Amino acid sequence: MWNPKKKSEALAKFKSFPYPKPGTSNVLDSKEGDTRRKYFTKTHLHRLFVFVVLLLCSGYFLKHTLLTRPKESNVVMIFVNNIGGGVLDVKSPRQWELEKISTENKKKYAERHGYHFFVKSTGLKRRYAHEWRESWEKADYIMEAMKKYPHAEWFWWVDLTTFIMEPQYSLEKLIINRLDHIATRNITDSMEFNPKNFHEIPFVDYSEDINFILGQDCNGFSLGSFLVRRSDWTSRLMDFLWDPVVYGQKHMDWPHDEQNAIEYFYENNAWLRSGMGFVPLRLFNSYPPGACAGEGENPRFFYNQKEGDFLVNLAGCNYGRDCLDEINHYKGLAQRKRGWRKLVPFL
Amino acid sequence: MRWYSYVIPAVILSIIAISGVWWNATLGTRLDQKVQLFLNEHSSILNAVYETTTIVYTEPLHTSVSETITSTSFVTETTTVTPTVTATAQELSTLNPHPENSKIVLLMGSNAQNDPSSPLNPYIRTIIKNRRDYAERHGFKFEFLDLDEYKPSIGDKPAPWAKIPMIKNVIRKYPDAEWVWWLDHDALIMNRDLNLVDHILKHEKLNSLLLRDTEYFSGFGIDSEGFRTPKNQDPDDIHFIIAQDFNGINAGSFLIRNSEVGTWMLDFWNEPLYKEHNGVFVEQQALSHMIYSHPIVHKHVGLVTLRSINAYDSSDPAWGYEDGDLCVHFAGCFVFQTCAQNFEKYGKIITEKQGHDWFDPSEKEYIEQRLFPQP
Repeated sequence: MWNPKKKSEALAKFKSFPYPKPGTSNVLDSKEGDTRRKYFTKTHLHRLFVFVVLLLCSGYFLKHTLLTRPKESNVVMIFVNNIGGGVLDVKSPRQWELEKISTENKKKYAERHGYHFFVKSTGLKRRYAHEWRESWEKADYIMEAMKKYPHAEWFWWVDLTTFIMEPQYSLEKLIINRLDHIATRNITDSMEFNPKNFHEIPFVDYSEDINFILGQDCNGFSLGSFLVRRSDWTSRLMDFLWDPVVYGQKHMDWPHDEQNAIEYFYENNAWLRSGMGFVPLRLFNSYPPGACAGEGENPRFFYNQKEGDFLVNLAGCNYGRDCLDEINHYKGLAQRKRGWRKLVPFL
Repeated sequence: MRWYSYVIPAVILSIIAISGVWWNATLGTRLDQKVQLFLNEHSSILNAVYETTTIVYTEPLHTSVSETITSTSFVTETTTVTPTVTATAQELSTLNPHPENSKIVLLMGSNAQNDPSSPLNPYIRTIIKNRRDYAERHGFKFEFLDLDEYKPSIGDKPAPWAKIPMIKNVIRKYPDAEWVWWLDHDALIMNRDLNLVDHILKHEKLNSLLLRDTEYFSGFGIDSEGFRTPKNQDPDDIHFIIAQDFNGINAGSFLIRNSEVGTWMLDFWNEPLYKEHNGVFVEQQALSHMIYSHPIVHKHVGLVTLRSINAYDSSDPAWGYEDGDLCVHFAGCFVFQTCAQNFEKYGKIITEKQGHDWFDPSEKEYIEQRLFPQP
């Protein structure tokens, strides 16, 4: 039975064809046809696939564009290389290689998160007649960085013999934005980790702002990686840290420089205690097995790849261990991606 | 085939996702800016209110008290042969103290009262009363601390080191205190009408008193090497006020502010290794060292003329006490054994101005005999 309406529709659809298209002959039939829509056909899956690919590509390129855009950063990374500057001996190729690996690692991290990267070459210099010192080390460089970046609030000191294992973590998310939850103020409390056995002293006000963030290792304070906030407190700390009268009597007892000086002053200075906050060592200063000899497998100190520790500090690798071999080892570990990050390298 | 049906949704959703990430990342910064704006706005309002309050209420009250005391003294002077402080004037001055005065602590430490061999032993209670009366007259707080109780905290070190824990304890006892004035026990308040706030601590007054770009003197083994006070110093930045003689600064009289800088300086000053340094390194030399070696200390220490807070018994007009000066310090009297002599000399001046009631009752008979011997 001929249906004029159906014919018109068919002809409108296939006007360029002189004959009916195969597979569509049911349109010409008068009986009620199967009108159920079909999903998960080849065409739909193809569309979904292309959609997802484009989504990811757009995300990647846009994210990359955003990340490379210059922004006013709140964080300065302070990194010193060329330690010793070849003054007392000639630097070996292995030392240069170590610096290259470490510098590249830090530079990439700074670029990724938009941090200022403050690099200093620390040749040996004299301040007192009886000794050589790397331009009075951390205190001087921190003050210099504070002058150079007047709008930055946080200054992160990171030693040469360190390697950032998880560069996707930003300092803000790792430490700064959750200071209230992770920082210990009063380490004289009996439940807290207190390797130097500091005693409680009067006049400490633990409600003041935290201006100095560091971890403690088996021997006390560990300054291979620490954060300092720009503040009057910090200026006062840098101002008195190398007091000539105190240093003149103590320099033979202080092989670890600022670390020993701050530990010493921490004993008697209430104002100093009021501004310091302690975080777990592994938060941004994990140790390799060779450091902290005698501690075995203490989970408080040593790098744990499964838990994704942020940074490993090869503390003491210049004394009896091989810095270059160790940093290459951790570099290899870092390049071996874990879990789902293998599949999505740009996240 | 129709590319736009794939690309457009993908791009839009990507932009939404990236914008969300950016929004979240910068939210803290933007909130901080708004909070800062809010604080600045309300801080201005608070400042205005404070200034208004100060202008409206402070000066008239202070003037009123001064006028009342002056009038009362005048009336009293016309009715009695020997001028004396009346109970009414005393009561008025304590009932209506200058509001800021209650934030000043006058601190004295001594063990002369326990040591019969001390040259100040016969006079120490009168010296204490001299301080207490001055403090009560102006509404300051007065604190006397027994040096013997502080011997354990300084061990076998010279007694002057005990000033630092004493000041710390006073700040702890009076957390709202703004300034602590330390005055050695070999000193007398000579002008009880001179309000310390009006004399030194008011912003304009301190601004005019500060010795800027002035050379520190060397002395007692601490060489200043031509070191000078800062060229530009703001009174609001001053946290320590001291004077110097030809041997450098003299820590017999100084004011320290109860602030972060002030408490930092106290901690620093109390450094155990300073006490171990050498035999001539005492609290005065330690303070000089801090000023010369640490820019922040140098910046916050204000130098004033010696006669402002620490006049000496001397004929030199730059240092020697003159009528109207706040106090006189018998610097070096233990070395020259002139403590009793100095006390009697200046005690006479006070007696001539205030009458005999300024003596402590337990010492009155002895001191009167020393000052005005009967044939």
